Formats: sequence, structure tokens, C-alpha cells
Amino acid sequence: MNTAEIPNQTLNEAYYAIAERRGVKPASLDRQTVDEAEFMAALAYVLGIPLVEPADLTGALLAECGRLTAELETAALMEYKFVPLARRGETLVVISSCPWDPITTEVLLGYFQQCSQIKFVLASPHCLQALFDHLQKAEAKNQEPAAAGYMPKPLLAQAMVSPSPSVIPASAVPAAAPTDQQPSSVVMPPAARPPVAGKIPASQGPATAAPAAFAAGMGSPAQPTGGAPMLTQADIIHLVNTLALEIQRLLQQKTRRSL
Amino acid sequence: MNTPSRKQFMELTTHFRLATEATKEALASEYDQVVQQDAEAKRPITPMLEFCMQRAGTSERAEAIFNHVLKSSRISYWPNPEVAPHLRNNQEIKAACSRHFLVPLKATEQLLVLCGCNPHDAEGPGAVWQKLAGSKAPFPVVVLSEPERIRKALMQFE
Repeated sequence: MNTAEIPNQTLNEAYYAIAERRGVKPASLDRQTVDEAEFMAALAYVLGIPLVEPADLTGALLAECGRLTAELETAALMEYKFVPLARRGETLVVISSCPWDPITTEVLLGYFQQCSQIKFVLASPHCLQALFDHLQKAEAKNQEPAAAGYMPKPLLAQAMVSPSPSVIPASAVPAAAPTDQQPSSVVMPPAARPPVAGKIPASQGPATAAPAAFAAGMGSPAQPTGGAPMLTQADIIHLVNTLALEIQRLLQQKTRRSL
Repeated sequence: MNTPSRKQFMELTTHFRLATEATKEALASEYDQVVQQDAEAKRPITPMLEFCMQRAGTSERAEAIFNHVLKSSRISYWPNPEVAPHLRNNQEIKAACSRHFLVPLKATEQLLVLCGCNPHDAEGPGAVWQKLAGSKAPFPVVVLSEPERIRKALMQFE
């Protein structure tokens, strides 16, 4: 576990708890003597959440994860370092190696819109990687029959809320909004797959979801409206990128404030 | 009715109108009777949450009760509680867990993760924690799960 990523307050509380358990003064605790198991246990205790370790990755737990991750790209989950575990009513339970990261919560609430609350289960980066390996294997297994018939794999969506927002290239925007698909009114997070995987050509995959959704919200700018000036595709791209950068800036501000 | 059960009883009867002011005490007595029967039969004590869910009327309402408890509590959720394998033949732990309707998911030198269905209950986790605490007590963490899942897991004790 890279302690540099952990907020100072949480980190100090974890070491304080370790010192208290060892019966020493927090100031005199030699942090070099704290092994990963003890540190992760203290971190779980301080955060008040359970800890998943590689030995806990049983078939039952993987099956639980599989129910919610079936429609998500494992590569995107890896980028954001979380795996949805369960959903009960409006509560989503997620395994994460950085549950303190506000971006994780933002992304999850954006995708699982029916959930208003996120609860976490802690995992070390090492354990989370083991979980990703399992999910990737399962994902590959599920895609085997499709490969025989050759179906293009949809592209990974670009994040609207991303730690390093990339500018959406003009080539990512379709020449015309598809008329046979209802554009999503929700900006899809990076982990989202298209509703019918394999049926949407890569060029119209989730990478275009954001502009398409934006366009839908603007009342289909491709259609002239009583002589009013039209927004061109370049305008839309510019607006989307401005919005993405603004979101990023606000999130960074929030992150800095919480630290 | 012990204090944690009473707290949960008050919360759920108020929120889901499981009883009126006039019938509240009768419902509480009914629960006490269930607890007594469980104790006499030496089986896991029915938790208040399960008792309320059984009286919800429909399965949707029962689910709503559970979801409400999860949402309003600060603790996390565990979908598949299982008794830690090395504790399954520990009779002392079995007795404590049955009495408090708790499942010890993980019990290492450093960490004790218990799964229950009453976030107000500190007595139960405390009792199990004390039995497992060695020279250095493990860090305790409590999570929530559905009563029927916990009941199923408690059957793993030998």
C-alpha cells in the first residue's frame, strides 16, 4: 500500500490505532516495524469498513462481483481501482483500494444513478489486482464465443470525470447522430459498456456517448430550428471539453480541500 | 429486550409503522417471547431486524426495512457471510455468536470482522471480541448482512 495516496488524517489515525494497540505512544511508534497486514487492519478499523484479502476471493465473492461488473470494462475498473460488490436498495457496496478518493465516489454515483449512497470494502492494491485478474479471465471467457463470429469490441469510453481528462478528438464524434438509437441522457463513465455490447460499431461506441448525450440535451443541434444559429460539431466538442476541464478543476479543488 | 434490540425496535416501528402506540408494547412482548423460546431451544437468538422483517407484510416491504437499516447506518455491507474456517469448531465462540446473532467472517491476529444485523449492537461484537482477544486485541470491524444469510452462516458452526 502506497501511504502517500492516503489522506494525512486517515494515515495518522491508522498509526495512532496501531500505537494504541501496541501500548506505545504514537510519537514513539517506529513506522518501519508496521507490516502490511497490521497496517491494512488498522486502516480498515479507522475507516470502519471490512478488509478483503486474497484468501477471501472465493467463488461466492467473485460471483457477487460478477453480477455487477458484467456490463463494465475491467480495464476501466482498473483505472479507477474499484470493483462493485453488491447493491441493496439505494446503497452500492464497492471494493476499493482508495475509498477516500472523491473521484471514485463521483464516478460510481454517476454510473449507478439509482444509488444515492456508496459503502466501501477495503482491499490492498495487490489484492485488488488479484480480483481484476479473476474478472479479466471471466471477461475473456465470456467473449470467446463472440470472437468466433467476429464482433468488434466496443471502445472504452472517455471519462467525463477523470483524473487526467483527455480532450475528445473530433474523429470520435460521429458524422451524424444515429437515428436508430436513443442517446443516453447520462454521461457514461469510463467503465460503462454500450447497452448492447458488440452491436454498436466501435466508432459509435461509448467514446461518443458524451457528445451524443450533450447534443441530445441541446435539442439535436444538427437540426435547424427556425433559422436560429446552429451549433457545429466543433462547437459541441469545444463545449464538452470545456465542461470536462471544469469538472476536473472543481474535483481537484474539492480533493485539495478535503486533504 | 436488551438495549440494542430496543433501539432498533423503536427505529423500525416508527419508520415503518409496524405497530401503533397502542400495540407497540404487545409487539415488544411478542419479541421477548420469541427470544425466550430461542434461548430455551438453544438456537440462534432471532434478531430484532428479522422479527420486524417477518412482520412487514410483503417481501418488498421486508427488503425495504433491511435497505433502510443499511442506508441509515454507518457500517458497510457483506453479501456472503461465512464463519471463518478456523473458528467453526470453537464452542465458546459458537455460543457467543448464536446469542448475539453474529458471524465472525475474519479473525486474525490483527483484525476481527464480524457480520451482524443490528448496527446499534455494541454488546455482541464486544462479547465475541473479548473471547478472541489475545495479548494484542485485534482491530474490530462490524458489517451488516441480511438475517437469513447470517442464520445460514451460523449453521456452519459444528
